[in-house]
Amino acid sequence: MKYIYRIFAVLVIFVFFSSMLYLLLNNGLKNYSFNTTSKFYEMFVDDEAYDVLYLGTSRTFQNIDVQICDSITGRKNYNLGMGGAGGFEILSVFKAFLQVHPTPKNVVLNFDRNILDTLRGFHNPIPYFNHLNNDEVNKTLKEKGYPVWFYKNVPFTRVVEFNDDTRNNCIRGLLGKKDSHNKGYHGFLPNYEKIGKFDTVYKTKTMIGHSKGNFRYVDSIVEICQKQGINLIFVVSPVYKKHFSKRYLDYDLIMGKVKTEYNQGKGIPILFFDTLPLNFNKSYFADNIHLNRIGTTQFSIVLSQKIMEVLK
Amino acid sequence: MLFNSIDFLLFFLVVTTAYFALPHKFRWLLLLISSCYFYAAFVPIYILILFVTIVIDYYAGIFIEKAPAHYKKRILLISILANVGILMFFKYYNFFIDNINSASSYFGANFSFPLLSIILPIGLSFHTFQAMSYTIEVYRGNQKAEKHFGIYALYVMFYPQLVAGPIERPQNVLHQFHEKKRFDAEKLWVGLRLMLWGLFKKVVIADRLSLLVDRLFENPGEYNSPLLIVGAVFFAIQIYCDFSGYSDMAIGAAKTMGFELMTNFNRPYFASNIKAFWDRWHISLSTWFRDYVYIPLGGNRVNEYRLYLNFFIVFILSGFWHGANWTFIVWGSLHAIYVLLNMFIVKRFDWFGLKDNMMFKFAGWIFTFCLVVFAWIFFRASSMDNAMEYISSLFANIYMPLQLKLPQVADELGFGYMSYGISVFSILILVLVELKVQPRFENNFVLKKDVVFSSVILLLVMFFGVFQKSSFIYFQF
Repeated sequence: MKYIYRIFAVLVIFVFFSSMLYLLLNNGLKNYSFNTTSKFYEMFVDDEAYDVLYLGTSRTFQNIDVQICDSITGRKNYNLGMGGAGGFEILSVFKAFLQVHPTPKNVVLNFDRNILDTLRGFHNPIPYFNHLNNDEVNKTLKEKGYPVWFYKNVPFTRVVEFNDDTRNNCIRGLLGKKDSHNKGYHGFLPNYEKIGKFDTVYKTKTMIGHSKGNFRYVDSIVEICQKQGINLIFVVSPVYKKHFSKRYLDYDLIMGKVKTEYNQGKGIPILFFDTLPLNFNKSYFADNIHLNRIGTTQFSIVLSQKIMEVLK
Repeated sequence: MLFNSIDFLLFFLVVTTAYFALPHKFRWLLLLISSCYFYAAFVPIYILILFVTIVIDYYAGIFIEKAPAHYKKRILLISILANVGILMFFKYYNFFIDNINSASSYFGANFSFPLLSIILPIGLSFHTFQAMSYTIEVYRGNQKAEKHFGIYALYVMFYPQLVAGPIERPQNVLHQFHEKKRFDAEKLWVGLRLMLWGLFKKVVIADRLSLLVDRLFENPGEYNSPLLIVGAVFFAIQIYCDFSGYSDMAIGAAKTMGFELMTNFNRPYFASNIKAFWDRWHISLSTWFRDYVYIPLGGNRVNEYRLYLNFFIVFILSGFWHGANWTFIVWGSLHAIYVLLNMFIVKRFDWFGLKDNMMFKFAGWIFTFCLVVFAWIFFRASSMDNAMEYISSLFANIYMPLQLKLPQVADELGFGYMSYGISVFSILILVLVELKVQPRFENNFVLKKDVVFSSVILLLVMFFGVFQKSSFIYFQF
């Protein structure tokens, strides 16, 4: 029997130390990624009511200053943009948000290429694991193949999703360091510095994909808004020197489709901000597709003034 | 189904529990069905190929045993041709056709044979060689023909070693399927510990190193010499941890049910000469070639030059066994040259009388490791061009700025300081365990502090493992 005791002893030691270590690492990670921690708390725990909800990718999260929007529109605005998200994640976060918050009157969908990308799952699933009590978060993670039962009931098993960067961030957080990429979460995450290269030569153009399948997450958002009586507005936000048109062969075709099918066909208002003068001024951009802090302020002012005309 | 997956963990628990819960007479059936399921989890249709070779070799064994002496050889030949034929078709057809087409266009002839779009059945070289060893041993009279079709099928298909060995011999394994295995807690413990150690080598070391190695081999021209040297050394460690990790898990999984499989690795990188390296690396394949190719070619009982030729043939075949690519042939040839030079030095100079000198041994170890690492570049490269680009960049990019420590390279490669840190730390653990602990746990010696050892390894797997469900390198062979 001594060998069976040994197996049992190893398991007990493993479970005990894993649980302790995970608690420690998760605290470190929460501390380091304080921006994400705050945002996820607001999205999936807090139940505050908002008048206007902004959906999209990093081009929403980093480009729309909701404090400016609040002061100009006189409404409560919330930025639900998710960095690196595709259509699946944008839709999932929207549904999960609706589970805990009162239905907003208006939803602004910042339309860009990622929402048509059907291959993207969760850009960074780790912060979601702290919110598995939200049915929608639970369901969508399961849909993407994550062993949600284990992650919910045996939390330390979540470490198998960590990569070395995450491990590094856990230790940094435990040492009291904070994510220095941005200077803090203010309901959105501004870019203070240049974050990428500015492409000027477009040797190879690729396709985004414009089939009906590519639009399925957009259609789902439209359907939810229609069912719940939410006023849906599409926005096309600034991009440096028509980057998307130059980079993607079917971008203009997609925009044409959005105009005919969603604007003319379904009566969804579309506001284009990709032809404003600021689109041609490099000093407003952090890279080809993201505004910097100054650009974000400028864009948020213009957006708030313009959106007032179509808000409910 | 990969050993480093949750699916396998559940599969293993169910099969091992059911194995001891069932009466002895049904156990072969359980193992056979679960082995079929295990194999079919990769590409289901290829189980038919396995079935064909099993049927051929099963009847070949029986006929060889019964046939008069002058017919035995013919039946053996038919069996070998069938096995080699399947291997040649699935693994080497496109390679030969591609080379014939290239040669014909080089000489101005305008014919081209069509290439086939076939996926290589997983582990084909392994189970084909295992099946051949059965008919050869029956022919030699070292093994009685197996009459029970299910047990014979299990000999070829036994799930722990089905897709990447160890390539077993019938004398070692077949009788074990007939024996009634009683639950043995010590074997369960030793087996689980070996599986855990194999998992550590795979997910903590091999899969982490592959993050850097894969990127470096994609575009070697973009990186500087020190980084490429690190990449080549890392690949040597990666392939050892990947393959020996698989072998440990296979041997451990079999041991939990009471089966003993042959040792496949014996700390090869501690070898102080190349011949010793080959006595310790992929032992089941080396001994297969020794028993079924080298000895029939005359073994040691030939003149010196014929001996060298025999070695050369064995190493070329060994290289070619790994894959249908010139890179593997070059890898095999390099090792042949290494071994022949080693033999030559021993024969003519007897190690210059320094055989037992510690410094000489140490220098020999360094030199052997460098030779092996250099040859691995060919093994890892996707083509000869890729290999040559890697080697030329390794020497030419010496004046490029040092990239190893630059954070942007860490971001670009996805391999930062943390990854280097964990890699070095886990390699140190590997070295320590191989030096101090492994010689004992391979001999079933139960360590005094084995609970602590196993708990620490399990925690390291959990917290430092790379769980991307990446396959084992040797599955492609």
